[in-house]
This record gives sequence, structure tokens and C-alpha cells, in this order.
Amino acid sequence: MNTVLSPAWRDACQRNRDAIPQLTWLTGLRDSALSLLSSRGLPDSGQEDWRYTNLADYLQRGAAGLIDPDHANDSAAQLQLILDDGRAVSPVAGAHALPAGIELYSLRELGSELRDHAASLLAGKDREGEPPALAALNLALLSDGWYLRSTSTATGTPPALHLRLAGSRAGIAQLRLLVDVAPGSRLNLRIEHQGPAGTLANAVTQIRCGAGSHLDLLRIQDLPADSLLTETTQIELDADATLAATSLDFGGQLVRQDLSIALSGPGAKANIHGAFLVDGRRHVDNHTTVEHRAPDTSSREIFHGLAAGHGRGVFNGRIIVRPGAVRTASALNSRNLLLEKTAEIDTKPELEIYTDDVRCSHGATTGQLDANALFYLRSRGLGPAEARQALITAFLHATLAQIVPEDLSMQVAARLQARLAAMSKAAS
Amino acid sequence: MDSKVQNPGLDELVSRRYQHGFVTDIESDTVAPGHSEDVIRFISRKKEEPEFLLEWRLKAYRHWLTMREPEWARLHYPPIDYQDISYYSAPKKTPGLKSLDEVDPKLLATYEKLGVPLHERARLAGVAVDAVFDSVSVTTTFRDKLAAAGVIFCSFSEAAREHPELVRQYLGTVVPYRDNYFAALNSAMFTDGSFVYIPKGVRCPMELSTYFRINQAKTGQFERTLIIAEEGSHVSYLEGCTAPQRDENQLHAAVVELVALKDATIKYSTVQNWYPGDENGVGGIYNFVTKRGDCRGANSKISWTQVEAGSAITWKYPSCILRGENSVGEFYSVAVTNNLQQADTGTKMIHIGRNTRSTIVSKGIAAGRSQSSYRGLVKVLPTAEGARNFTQCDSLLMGSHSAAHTFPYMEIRHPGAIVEHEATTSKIGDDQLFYCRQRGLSQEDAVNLIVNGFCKQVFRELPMEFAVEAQNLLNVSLEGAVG
Repeated sequence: MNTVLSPAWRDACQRNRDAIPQLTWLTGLRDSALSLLSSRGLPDSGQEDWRYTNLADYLQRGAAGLIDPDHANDSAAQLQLILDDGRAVSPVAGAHALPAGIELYSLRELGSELRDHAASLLAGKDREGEPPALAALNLALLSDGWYLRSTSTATGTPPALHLRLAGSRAGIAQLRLLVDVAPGSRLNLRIEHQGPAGTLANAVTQIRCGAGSHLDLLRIQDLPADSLLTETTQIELDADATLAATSLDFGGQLVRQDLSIALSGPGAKANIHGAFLVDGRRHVDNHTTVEHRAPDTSSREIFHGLAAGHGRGVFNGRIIVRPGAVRTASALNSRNLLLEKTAEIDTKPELEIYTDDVRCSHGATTGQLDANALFYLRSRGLGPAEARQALITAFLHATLAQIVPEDLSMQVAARLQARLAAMSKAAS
Repeated sequence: MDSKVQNPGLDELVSRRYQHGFVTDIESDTVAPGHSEDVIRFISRKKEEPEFLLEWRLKAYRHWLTMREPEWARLHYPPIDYQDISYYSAPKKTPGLKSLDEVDPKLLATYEKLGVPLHERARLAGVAVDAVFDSVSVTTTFRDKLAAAGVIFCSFSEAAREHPELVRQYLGTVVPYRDNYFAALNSAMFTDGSFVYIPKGVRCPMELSTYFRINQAKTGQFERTLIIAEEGSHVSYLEGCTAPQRDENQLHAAVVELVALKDATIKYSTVQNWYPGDENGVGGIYNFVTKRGDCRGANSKISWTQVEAGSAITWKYPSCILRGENSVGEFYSVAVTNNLQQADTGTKMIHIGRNTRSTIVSKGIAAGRSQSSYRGLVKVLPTAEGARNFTQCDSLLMGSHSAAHTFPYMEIRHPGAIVEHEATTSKIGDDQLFYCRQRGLSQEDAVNLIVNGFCKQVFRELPMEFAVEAQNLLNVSLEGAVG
């Protein structure tokens, strides 16, 4: 059922293969990515994983932008470091500001001793044992990428890093970030998707958390309304590593995130919170996979979705428990609020269990605001719009609780509040 | 946990042979394997069908040829060679049967072995049986009593001959021939099935029951069932299946259509126990079934209850289209898989009308190296003001090589809808087993007790005699599968 890879894409991949002298160490990987794309094609809505999200327009605009790829052009602008004072600088200019124990390299500048680490992350496979098609496309077409390493084992507050990823208005920007959290180290990483109106991006983030490490990950997507983003995030946790991930979607026209978390070492733990807000004609699709590969791993995942206007929110959460992953504990929840008849929520929490000694549960609900709760707030003197907003805020705020440090959590809450206010204004 | 260590004698219990494995030696009138328009014309002529039905079959066949076999289900099986299947097989000497005495005694003996409550037993059990033996309806009982109530209960071929206007009006209106690959194949090739018509305001005086059997080697069975419940009527329909042991995989692609008009209720219960293949996964039935009910009128109700214990492959999603205001859809299911069986089953609830309600309770039990999947869709359209769904699907795993999956699709387009889904997967608790053992129960009795408790919510929905059969079936399928 796959669409065959069109000549435009194939030619672009082939042109890009050896175009950048500093990236020739990727040629072998690029070749296998291209051969995978040739056999599997790009996603289309005939595929089960893409039944709710149609990428035809995105790929068409992307193909149009392939005509004259300019490698030198915007690779530096694709990733920026946000300093404490809010200034955005290039990773090179901001190198001095990196916290102790954190290193950030462009793939073009990557020392040969780190290339093996980077290459093993780059080749990340999905649950079917192959790189996902969009990650393969990214690999075949990328003109640069970043490798981040954290080796900080200092106690106290983990070192924090704030990155901004930006798409491009001419064709799809292929963004790639590799993160190595060394065994025993800790990192607080915040990634924001931002960009001017009409940007397109295909982002791939691949993270490895070494044994006993700890990662706080906050992803915020707040793109202008006419932006299109596809994003593949793969996180692998080694023994006793812990992950606290929060994913927020406030903006975008069409956004698809594939978040895969593999608990590969015994005792690994993942806590995943997500929220998405779709109004206007936004379409946000979150596909998550949590794969338990080792004994005594645990995961907890909860996604809150809010759909208004003509918005469409899609959530597909999958828990896989592989043979041998005994004593797994796993819970998955999808909670959704549908505010208008013209909006739509499609949710599918899946379980795939291949061993018997497990405790897994999932739940999903979709409904509207509770009339009793609204009435109560009105009886306390709140106006209809205020009462609604109070309940919506309460619904989404559960997601923000695990963001650390607290002032960051407050900051995100304020942004959410502003976003909700804008939404309610647009509706009235 | 290694069950062998903990539970000696387990292998013996698990490897219990299929009890209904026998082949009745009767001459059959079978067409050569392969599909073509000529085969369809042959079937249609054989059935003395009206012209419109042949036309419909041919349209379905031409459409089927353009379709691809679906691949989305979590099932693995070698490709099916549709040219290697014989699409028609009928026991000989059937025309003009007036009473049971005229039926081939060997056939009756077959039913005896299966425990079909025909003959004396039918009366005792109070069940009217339209037994289908390799695609041809052999005999029908209790017809007089039903006729007095105005109920039509007969084979599909008979209905096509004697009530063509009803067949024409309703056939394919719930499951169109273009619906899916297997429904299209069935529409082209169906050989027989059952037809039920309950007139306005009538409560069917007894449970209606049909036993399907697949008998002739290398013959596929393509049943077509159509049940129409007119305004204010009520019917409970039971379907049970067993099949003889075979080494070659047999294809079964049935279609069931239910139509419930205003204030009507249809209850459809199934116990499916076709040959599941042996412990190495050799043989067994491939069961690709399309079952769908249409709640057309206000306050109508369709309830599906199924116990799926057999078949090597089960692909089955009994569904409800909730069109009428306040209409109700229900789905209660127990799916048991053992050895190398695979089941991908569930339901679809399509909410279209106002205040429509649906309940889904699915219990999956996977033992041995089997795979059991629940796949269900709840869709609420913008017109379904006040729609309500509750879904619960639980899986019980027995043995570390079994697998259980859950794929609940929820597509919600009305803010007033309340849709809830819950699912759990676990094994039988050691503490529960220990408690039962400590009270003096044997290991297998303890397992049976716990499994029956796990399934109780579904068994409760079955008519009495089926509930007993279902429990026995479950015990046979699973005895000692847990350690």
C-alpha cells in the first residue's frame, strides 16, 4: 500500500549522499536509509499508523522545496541555544555558556572518537526493527545535526539546557539531535519548536540514557498556525535509568509526533505526561510507544487532549511488553475534552503483551466539561466563559506538575494560560 | 514460571484431543475447486435462486476480483489459494425431505455426537433447530409453532425462493457486497445460511438455534444469515459450531446481517468451537466473519454475545450501527486461544442517532503460544447527541509464551458524548490460586473457577443451555494451562 518514493525525493537523497565532505562518515547509513525508503516508501494514510493523519500536502510542499537545496544556508539557524537571559545564540557562540559536564557538537565537527556513539544513535530502529520512514528520510537528507553529551554526575539540581529547533520555509528542514546521557549522569533538557509562519520541519531526536542516569525532558511545540511538523523521538533507557518526559503541543497546523521509549535495562522507569490543544483547523497527532524489553521495568503515561473549533486531536499510545520482561508494571491513560461538535478526537490506547507476569492497564475517556462542575462555579459567581476556562485549565494543568524546576513549571503554566485565553477569545 | 514443574500431569490435560473430530462418510455433490462466474451460476442454479440474486452475486464477484486481502489484523497465516477451494458441497439425496425419518441416519448420528438438540432432545430443550450440514439446510423443526406466530425461520435458499421480496429488500443493506474482502467473497459464493423474519409486535415464542458444520474436505463454508425484526418484535438467536478434525486449513467466510426496526430487540449468541488445529498449529479453520447489526428504528436494541474457543484464525468484529434514537448496542465476548491459535476479534459501535448507548465487555484468555487481540472501534458522529459508551476489555495470560493485545479505536465527534475505555492485562494471581488450593481445590478446578469468574459477566448474557456449553468448552480448552 506504500507510495513509491517519487523521483524527486530519490534524486534529492542521492544528491545529498556525498554533498557534504564533513559528513562522508554517514554515507553507509545514508545508503541503507535510502534503500529502506525505496522499499517502504513514505507514509500514506493507507497505512494503519497513518490512518488519521494525511501527509500528502506536507510531502508535496516538501518535494517542491527540494529543487534547490542550499546546504550552507540555514543549518546554523536550525538549532539555537537559549541562554538564561532569554537570548538565542548559535551553539558555537554559546559554547562558553554550556553548564559543566555538557558538550554540544555539530555533526560536521564531530571528532572521530564520538562518531561511533553518534552513528549508533542515528541508526535507531522502531518496534518493527527498522528505522521509521521519516527518520530514514531525515538521515538521507540531513545537512547537519547535533550531538549532545551529558557527563555531569554532580548532586543537587541537574544541569539544565534549553534548545530551540526551527524549521524552514523553503522545503522541509531536516533537524537531528542526538543525546547521550552518560551512565550515572543527570540532565534537564528543554526542547522548543519555534519558527516563523509557514515553516516545515522533519525533526528526529534520539536519546540514550545510560545505566542509572536521570533525564528530565520537556518538549514544547508552539509553532505558528500554518506550520507543519513531523517529529520522531526515540529514547532508550538502560538499567535503572529514569525518564520524566513532558510533551506539550500548543500550536502548528499539522503536527505528528512519534515518541518511542524503550526500557532496555532492568529497573528502568519512564514517566510520560503529554497535553495537546487543537483549535482552529489544527491537527495534532501523537503516537507513543513504550516498549518494555527487560524485567522489572515500569512506565506510566498520561495524555490530556483538548479539541475545539475544527481541531482534530489524535492520540495513539502503545505499550509493548516483550517476552522475558517479567514483573513489568505499566499504565497508560488518555483523557480528552471535546468542546465543540466540529472538533474531533481519535484515541487508541493499545496493549501488546508477550509475557504473562505483568500488570498492565490502560484507559481512555472522551467527554465534555462536567455540567455540575460548571454549575458550581457559576453559583460561586464566575461568568460562563470564566467557569469554562477554570475547568479547562484544571484539566490541562495536571500535565505541568512534573516539570522541574518549579519556576519553569510556572512559566509554562503562564504560557498555557495565555494560549487558553486566546482560544476562548477566538471562540467568543 | 515453569508450569511443568509445578503442575505434573499438565501436559496430558493440555494435549487433550479435539473431542468433536470425526468425519461423516456421506456422498457429497461437490464442484471442482476454483472460483469463476460459472461456479456462481452453478450455485445459483442449484439453489433455484431468483434472477436478482444471481445478478447481485455476480456484481459482488466482479468487485471482489478488484479487492486486496486485508493485512492490518495481527494474524499470521500462509497465503490462501482461493482457486484451491471448492465453493459448493451438498449432501446428496436431500430433495423433498418431509420429516426427520427421511434424513440419512448417518447425518443424524453426526448430530448425536455433536449434541445437537434435534429430534427428542430438541423438544426437551425447547429449541428449534435449523441444522446446516455442509451448506444445505437439512431439516427444520418447530416450524408449525413458529408459523402460528407468523415467524419465518428457514434456510436462506428457501427464503430466496419463497420470500424473494424480503430478501431483495434487506440483503446487503447492512453489509454491502463492497464492504470488505471476505464479505465480498461471501456475497458472491454463499451457499446457504439462515433467514429469520419476525413480524410486527411479535415476541418469538422460542430461542432460535442453528448449528453449522463444516464437513467435506477442502470445502470452504460461506454462510449468509439475515435476521429482520419488525417494529416492536423480539428474537433471541443462537448459533453454535463444531467441526471435524482436518489436516488442511479450511476457509470460512460468513456474513450475518441483522436489521432491528423501531422498538425491536435482537439478541444474537454464538458459541464457536471449530477445529483449532493441533498442538503444532497444523490444520484448523480460518474464520473470517463479518457480522453487523443495524438498529434502524428508535429504541431498538441489538446484543451480540460470543464465546470464541475454536478456529486456528479468528477474524471477527460483530458490530452495531446505532442509527435510531435511543438505540442500544451491546457486545459481550469471551475469546479463548490455546496452542498456536490466533484471534483478532472485537466489535464496532457506530453512534449516529441521539442518545444511543453501547456497552462492550471483552474477555480474552491466551494460553500456550497463542495470540489473542481485541480490536474495537467506537465512533460517535456529530449527530449523536448524548451518546454513551462504556468499554471494558480484560486479558488473562496463561504461560509466558502467550500474547494478548488490545487495540481500541475511539473516534469522537460530538462533545456531548461520553466514551470510556478500560483495559487490564494480567495472569491468574498466585494468591488467588493459593487460596483455592488451600481450600482443597485441585489445581485445575482452581483455574476453572477463576477463569469462569473472569468470564462470568459474559456468560451471564448467554441463554441458559449455551452458558453451560460455554463453560464446559472453556474448561476443556484450558484445563491445566496455568501453573
